[in-house]
Order: sequence, then C-alpha cells, then structure tokens
Amino acid sequence: MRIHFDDQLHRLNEEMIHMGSLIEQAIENACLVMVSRDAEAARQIMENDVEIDRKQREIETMCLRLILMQQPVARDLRLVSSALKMITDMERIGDQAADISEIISMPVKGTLYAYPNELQKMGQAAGAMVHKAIDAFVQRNTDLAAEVIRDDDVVDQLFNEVRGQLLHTMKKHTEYGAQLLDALMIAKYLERIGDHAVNIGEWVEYAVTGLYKGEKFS
Amino acid sequence: MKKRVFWSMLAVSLLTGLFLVLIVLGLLPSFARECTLDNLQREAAVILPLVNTKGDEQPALAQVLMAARVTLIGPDGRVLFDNQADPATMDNHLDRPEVREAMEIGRGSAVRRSYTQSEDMQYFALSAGGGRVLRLASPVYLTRIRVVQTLPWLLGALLISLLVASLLSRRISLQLSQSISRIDPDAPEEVVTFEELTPLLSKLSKQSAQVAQQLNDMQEKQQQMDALIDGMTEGFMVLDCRRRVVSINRSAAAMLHVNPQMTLGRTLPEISRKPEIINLLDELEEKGNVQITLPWGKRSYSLNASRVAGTKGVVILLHDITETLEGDAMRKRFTANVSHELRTPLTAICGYSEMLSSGMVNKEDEQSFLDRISSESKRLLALIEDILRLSKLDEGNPGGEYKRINLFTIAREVVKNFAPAAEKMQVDVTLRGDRADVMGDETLLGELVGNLLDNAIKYNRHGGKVEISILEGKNGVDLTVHDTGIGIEQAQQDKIFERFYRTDKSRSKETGGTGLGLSIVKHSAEFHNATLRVDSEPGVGTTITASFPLVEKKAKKK
Repeated sequence: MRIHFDDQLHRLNEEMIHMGSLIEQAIENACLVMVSRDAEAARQIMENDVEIDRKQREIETMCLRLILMQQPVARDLRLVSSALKMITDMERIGDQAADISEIISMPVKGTLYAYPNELQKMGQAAGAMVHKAIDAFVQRNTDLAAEVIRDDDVVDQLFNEVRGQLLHTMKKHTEYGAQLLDALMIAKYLERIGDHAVNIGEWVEYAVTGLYKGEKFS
Repeated sequence: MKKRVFWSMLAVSLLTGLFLVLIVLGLLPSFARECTLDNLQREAAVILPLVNTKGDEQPALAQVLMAARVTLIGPDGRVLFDNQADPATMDNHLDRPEVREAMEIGRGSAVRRSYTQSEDMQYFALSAGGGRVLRLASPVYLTRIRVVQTLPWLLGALLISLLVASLLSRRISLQLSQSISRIDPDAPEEVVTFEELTPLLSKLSKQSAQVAQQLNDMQEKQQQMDALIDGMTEGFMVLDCRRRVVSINRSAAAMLHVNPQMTLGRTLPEISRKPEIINLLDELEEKGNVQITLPWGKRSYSLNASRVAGTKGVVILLHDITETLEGDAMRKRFTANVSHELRTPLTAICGYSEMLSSGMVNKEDEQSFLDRISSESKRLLALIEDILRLSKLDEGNPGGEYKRINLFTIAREVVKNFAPAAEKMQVDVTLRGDRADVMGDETLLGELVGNLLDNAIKYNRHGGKVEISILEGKNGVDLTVHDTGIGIEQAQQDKIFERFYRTDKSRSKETGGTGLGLSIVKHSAEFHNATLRVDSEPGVGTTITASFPLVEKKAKKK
C-alpha cells in the first residue's frame, strides 16, 4: 500500500516537472516569436497549449485519486493539495503564452512596429521567474520560492516602463495604431505570468512549511 | 536453547524417576510377600508346640495374641479353631490349596482371596501332626498401602528435579551464550571457550579471512572501475528504474554543470526540464536505445541512452560534439562561400564576353569591357590561388623550406612591393625594427606580412598611416602592424580570421580581395607556432601582433 503510494507521489512529481517543462518552453518560444514575428511558430505555440491543458487535467485526476484512495496526511497532503492549486496557475501561464502568440500571429496592417527592448526583457524576466518557481518546487526550496516572489517587482517595474514607452510612441507615431495596443496587451500578459509564478512560489512555500503567505492555513 | 536444555534435563530426570518407581513397584510386592511369609513361618513355629494331639489346645491358642489369623483344621477339613471367626460357621477347608499342600508335603503357602474374610491374604499352613493342619494368615493390603504412601515423596522428588533442571538449564545456556557472544568474529580463535566450540571457531576464522579477502578484491575492482569511469572524457551516468541518478562520473557532472553529490538520488527531470530530456525518457520507454543531440548552454552533447537489459536501469553516455558540429558548420559555410565567390567574377566575365561577341558594344566601350574581363579573371585567379594555399596549409604541407630567416628582410621586401598600393591610398608606410631571426618558410612569412599590410592599407583612410615594427624580445619576435584605419568592432574581432568573413560586406567590391587573407595569416601563424593578437577600436585603428617563438626553441613541424 505504502509502496504504491510512494510510487504515485513519485509519478505526480514527474508529471509536475513535465508540465513545468512544457510551460517554460511555451514562454521561451513566445519570447522568440516576439522578435522573429514568425506567425507559423506562433501558431505552433497555440497548438501546444492543448497539450498543457491535457496535462493539467491528467495531474488533477491524479491528485484527486491520491487524496481519495490514499488519504495522505500532513506533508504529503500539503504536497498533493498544493500541486492541485499549482497546476491551475501553470495552466494559466500556458494560456497567457498562447494569447501572446495569438496576437503575434495576427496579420499586420501597415508598417510593422518593432516591440521595444523592454518588452523582450520583460519576457525574459517572466520566463526566468517561472523557471525559478518550477525549480523551487522540484527542489522543495523555499529560498528560491521567496526569490520568485521578490522578482515580481522587477517584472512590474518593466511593465510600467513598457507602458510609458508605448504611450510615448502613441503620441508621436499614429501610423502604428492597434499594434501599440497589442504590445500593451502582451506586456499585461507577461505581467500576469509573473503573478502566476508568484502564486506557484507561494504554494511551494506552503507545501514545504505549511504556511500559506506566512500564515497558518486553516 | 535454554528451553531445549531444560526440557531434555527434565525428560532425563522424569525417565529416571519413572524407572525407579516401576522397579520399586515391581519388586515391593514380592518383598512384602516374602516378609509376611517369613513372619507367618516364624509365628507358626512359635505356636506349633501349643498344638497337641489331645485336641484341647483351643483355649491356649485363644490366649495367644496374634496379629495374624490362626486357624486349626482337622484331618477331615473341618475347622477346629479360628481366632478371628466362629469355626462353626466355616465350611470345609480341605479344598484350600495351602491346606492340601500341607497335608501332602508337610507345609504349604498361597496368596489368594479369603473366602471367609473376602480379602487378599497370605496363607501359610503347617502340618501339626495327627492329620491336622495349623494355618496362619495375614492380609497383603499392607504392601499396597505403602506404595500409595510413597507417592507424595515421589511427587516431591519430581518437583525438586524440575527445579534443578530449570536452574541447571538456565546456567548452562547462559554459559553457552556468554561464551558464544565472547567470540570475536575477526579473530575467533583468540577467545578461549568450550573446547567443543573449537571446530566452529577454526571454521569461522577461515571464513572470515576468506570474506576479508573477497571484500578486498571487490573494493579493488570497484576502485578500478571508479577510476576508469571517472577518468573517462565521456560523461557517464546510471539511472535506476525510477530514473534517479545512481552514479555520475566527473565528466558528466562537469558537462551538465552539476554537483555530483547533489545529483545522486535525484531524477533526471529534476536535474533538467529540457524538452529534449523529457522526450528522451518517454522515447526510452518505447525503444531500448535513444541517441539525441543535446544543446546545453554553449556546448552541444551527443547523448546516448540505453536501457540495461534485464533491469529497468538506464545507462547514459555523453559526448561533447561542439567542435565537430562547429567544424561541420564551418565546412558547409566555406563550401557555400567558395561557390558564391567563384561565381561572382565568372558571371561578370561571362556577361561581358557575351556582349562583346554579340557585337552589341560600342567601339569606345570595348576597351573598358576587356579591362573588366581581365580584372575579374585576375580576381578569380587570386581567389583560386588563395584557396589552394589555404588547403595546403590545412594539410600542413606548404611545400616550402623550413629554415632560419630574417623577418626584417622579408618585411622590407613586402613594404617595397606594396609601395604603389600605398601611394594610391596616400597611406604612409613605415618600417621600424632591426634584424630578427625566426624559423619558418620564406614564402609563407612573406604572405603573412603581405596580407597584414594589404589589409592595413586597404582598410585605411586617405592620408592614413601604417606602422610595421619588428621587435626581438625575451620570449621571441613580435611583428606588429598598426594602422589608422576603420577599425574592427569588438564583436567581430573573433570572426575576422574566418574564411570569407568580411566586416563590411557592402565594401568588399570596392576594396577587392578574396576574404581569405586573414585566414591565410591565421594558418600561417599557426604553422610557425606564432600567436595572433588583435587590438582595435572602430574609427581609430587596428593593431595586429604576431608573436613568434624564440629561434632556439625549435619550432615543431606540423
């Protein structure tokens, strides 16, 4: 019975890592298409999102079955329940990456607006946060989780910078029009990705210490 | 152990007790009977004189107080006297075996149930003369009662033997266990215990020696294996059935930038979530052996994973193929570049000559067309020559003579040759230095200096300067070519020695050249064991230094 349980926990861990790998890839590729503007590659990212959704359902079923049939307690219960919460955030991250790709895959009218460098940096920062959050889960490392939560400020700061720059461009160049709004949307999506990474970090802290956002979870 | 000793001791004492009881029970009745018979005989002898032939002995007999029953029987079997019963009620005693025996042979005895008193009796009869028989009887039950009386004693003895058995067994087993626990497995024969244990001890000592030897052998083998695996340049990893790292060698840890101690016990996906690795593990489930190219940072590894037959483990071999891949890419680029570079002048020659042959060209333009064809052909020739030279250098066989040469003379010659080109660009070329000997090939060194000078003039500004200096130092000879030209950006400085690489592609037509010059310089420098250093600032100028080794150190021929 216990061996079976250990096996299931091990598999859950592996599947979580697999899903983490998928969303990391999605963000990375989204950052690449932000520069290359390759519509085909962008569509590929959107298609891959289906895989992430499937993985989420798979892990969900796994967690529920674990809770139902093995009735884990203490640390194991925290791990399973936080995994259950984490996959929601992970799935949302995948969705945001797909949304960014969707904007990029849209045909552009008029001159192509090259996204500001800060947007690129923002994408990298958000990707790094997600990577660190998954690392924190894999290593059960609360220090890394705390780092992720701190790093969100960087992404927020970058969002404000991008927003200011877009506003500036909007005043000077009217010809870009909707493209600037799209850029703002991308920035917002990236900012949301950062927030979801923070959520993951918080759930990792809960899984390890039993404290959610520094408080006893009741 | 204690229990077994206890039970066997108890069994022994019980068996002994049982035998004793059986013997006693078997012998006691006959002893008792003999005793009783003896008593009866003695009593009979005492009272026999009282019996006379007159027949008036009854009152005398009655007066004798006896524990035994005394009966006097007449010759006809009628009871004449009995001290415990009324003779009148007693029947004829002729059929009593002891009486009959006494009548026949003078005395008789029997043990039987009494008809009169209905209990087991010992009888003794004696002929008393005149056909009369005197019979004495005593009950046998006394002997039985004694056996029953000994029973409590027997039980007591049993209890005592139980107690002794348990005490003794505890002691013996304690002694045994103590002496066994005192045995030192490493040196079993050193402890003195029961001598019965000696065979065991000698066997133990033999075995422990054997085990130590085998362990030693195994450790040695393990160390050899570890050294072998650790010394491998290839990365080597072993995973268990759950894809956890069981073993990782130094090369693999260095390749993956991980701490070997930290990786042990972790699964591969925990170490890296690269899609290549996750797909690899999935693929490995289906196939037994998978080979992929794994990009890792700036390096590329060829990763070969195979399931170990019989177990669910996986063996992974990592091989650094960065250089091979780079070499492949470079070769591909070179081939593409060569074809392109060869085609450009040929297309021009083809076009001009076709126009000329079709007669579509004005007379006054003909000369310029022919000039173009000629110059393009020269460029083509130069290009092919450069390529040939490079391929020769690649093979390490430039075909010249390797000897001691004065670099300064060569440089002076080269500067002279480039004087017209320098004049055209209004570049001032100065040569500084003195005689400096290096080991090398004259043609190759001339090409080296020539190509450097060519570039320094070509990529200079009008009215610029080129300064060549040759200095002999402690470590060898430094050849420095300094110009005041356009300079090279930092990012491009590594690439300028690549074949066909141009810092500014749009200017290549203007300046001419094949794009192979610096590549030849690089190869030539390598051939002479010289090192090249580039210092450049865009817009200010470039300094390229070639440092040749000292002449005493004989340059190695490749």
